[in-house]
This record gives sequence, structure tokens and C-alpha cells, in this order.
Amino acid sequence: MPHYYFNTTNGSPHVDDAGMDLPDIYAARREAVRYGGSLLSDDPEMVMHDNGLCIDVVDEAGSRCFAVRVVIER
Amino acid sequence: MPSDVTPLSRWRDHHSTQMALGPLSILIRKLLSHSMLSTADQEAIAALPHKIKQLPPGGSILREGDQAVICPVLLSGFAYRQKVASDGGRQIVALKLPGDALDLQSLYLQKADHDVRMLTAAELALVPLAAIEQLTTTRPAVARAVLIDILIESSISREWLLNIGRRNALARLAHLLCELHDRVNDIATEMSANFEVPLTQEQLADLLGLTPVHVNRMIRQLEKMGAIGRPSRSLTILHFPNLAKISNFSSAYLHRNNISRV
Repeated sequence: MPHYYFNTTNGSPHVDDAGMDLPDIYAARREAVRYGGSLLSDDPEMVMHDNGLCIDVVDEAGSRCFAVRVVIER
Repeated sequence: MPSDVTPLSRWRDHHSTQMALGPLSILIRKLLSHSMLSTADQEAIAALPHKIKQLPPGGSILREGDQAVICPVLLSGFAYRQKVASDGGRQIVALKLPGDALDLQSLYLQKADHDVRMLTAAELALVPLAAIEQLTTTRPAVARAVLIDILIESSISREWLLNIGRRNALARLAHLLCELHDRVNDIATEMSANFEVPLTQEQLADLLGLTPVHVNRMIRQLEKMGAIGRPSRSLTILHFPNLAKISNFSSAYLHRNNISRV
């Protein structure tokens, strides 16, 4: 099973050093969205700082697979 | 691992040295922590028929829908109760420690409504429910102790509901660790400030209702604050007052001083 890391680069910076085994990229997308939802429910203010919340999902080789962003637009 | 950390395997040894009443003395000790039992009551519990069974981590002792005929008593190791949603999502709904009876509810309810599995390697004493039922009908103090045991587990469940429903992720994890700290120290014969937490990040996620990545992040944060340590990937409580402050922990719901002293 591929291993994915979920780093947050804005809002609340954190490098994920453990990562997670997930069946495929679709599962990684769902996990990233859930993780973001969980972070935001703890601290909605997170979106107001910098450029909002950004979760960068990286594979084992270190390449970025995709990012999930939550921003406030006006 | 720091030398002042108590490994899980040592707890059983402490109890073995004072087993005047046999393997079930650990259950008696647990019941005495919240209830009054006469010497005769204690001897009657010690004399309950039982078989010893060993289970590996993940081993199952009760499944949802089972009509139980035995009540397992945890002699060593940790166990948990889980419920599983139709999509496979799992929630760990209770943690059980050495000395805990794992299925007193089957004395009164026909079918198991959840699964019970081992968190670590465990040793169990399997006691026929009929024998416990007979003891509770002849000895009111034993019946009362069984009721109190069930009530305290309900109180812990209510606290977990609050924890998962309303505390933020950091406080949620810190609160669970505080509870474990107090419950483990209640059964350990020598006070140990620091001990290993036998839960993986996935299990913590299934218990706390968080994603494993979020759990890892909160572990890192508590580690940076000096509240926990992580020798060889396991998790160790280092600073209880710090964890208690983060989670605003009060042990009142554990009812540890339930016996009224006249």
C-alpha cells in the first residue's frame, strides 16, 4: 500500500513525519479533507491567517501529489 | 526507555506476590477500590470457578450478538470494547485494565451489543456467569459491588462522550492520558509517575475520533511541551500536571473515593 504524508504549510505549519498507508490517491484525498475538517473544527481561526489552510500531500518519494486548500474569498 | 518507566509486564508480577486469594485476587482488589466487601465476601469471590486463558494482541473474547455464558476477568494486559459501523468504521468505546471484569452486563442482558478484544497480550480468568449470578443473589455486598462497577464504567463512558464531542484534539488526547495515568496507578502496587501507553496511533485515532495524522500531530505537540515522551515509538506519560492542565482534568468521574469512611 502506498504511504502518504500530510504536511500543512499555511495557517498551522506542521511537517507530518509519520504519514499513513492508504490504498490509493482517492483514499489519500478523502483522508486529507477529513484531516483538514478536523483541524478547522478545532481552530476555525486557522483560515484567517496567512493564506488560509493548505494541506500538501506528498508520496514516499517526496513528490507532491496534490494539495487541499481552504481560503476565505471576498 | 528511561529507567523510571514501568513496563506493562511488571504489573502482573506485583500482584503475583500478594496472591493469597489466588488469580481472582486482582478482581477483588478492583472491587475493593470502590466497594466494601467482608472477608467472607472476598473469599467467596476468590473461590469462584474459573479457567485461565491466554490471548494475543487483537484476540477476541466477545462478539456483538453473542449470548455469553462466561464473564472474562482481565488478570494481565489491556482490553477494549469496540463498536463497528456498517461502513467498517470502528469506534473504541472503552478501555479495560488488569482487574476489570469484562462482561458483567451479560449477567442481566441477553445479547452482547459490542465486541471485546485484547489491546495487548492478555491473561484472562473465565468465570461462569451462573456462578457470579448465584454469588450476587446470596451476597448483597457482592451484588452492590457489581452494580457500582457497572455504574463507574457508565460514568467513564459519559466522560468519553464529552471528550470526543466537545474537547479539541489536544485536550482530547491529554484527557485520555490523564485518565489512563490515574487508572493505572490505582492498580499498580507502587506509584509510577511514568508508564507506557499501549495504544498505537491508529487505535488512538479510533478511540478519540480523529484521523491518525491528526493524532500524530497532537502527540508531537505534547512531546514538544514535555508532557509525554516517545521512547522506541511507544508513548510515555512524563508530566501528568501538564496534561491535566491542558485538558482541565478532574478525576471526579472515576469515583475513586466512593467508599464513605465512617
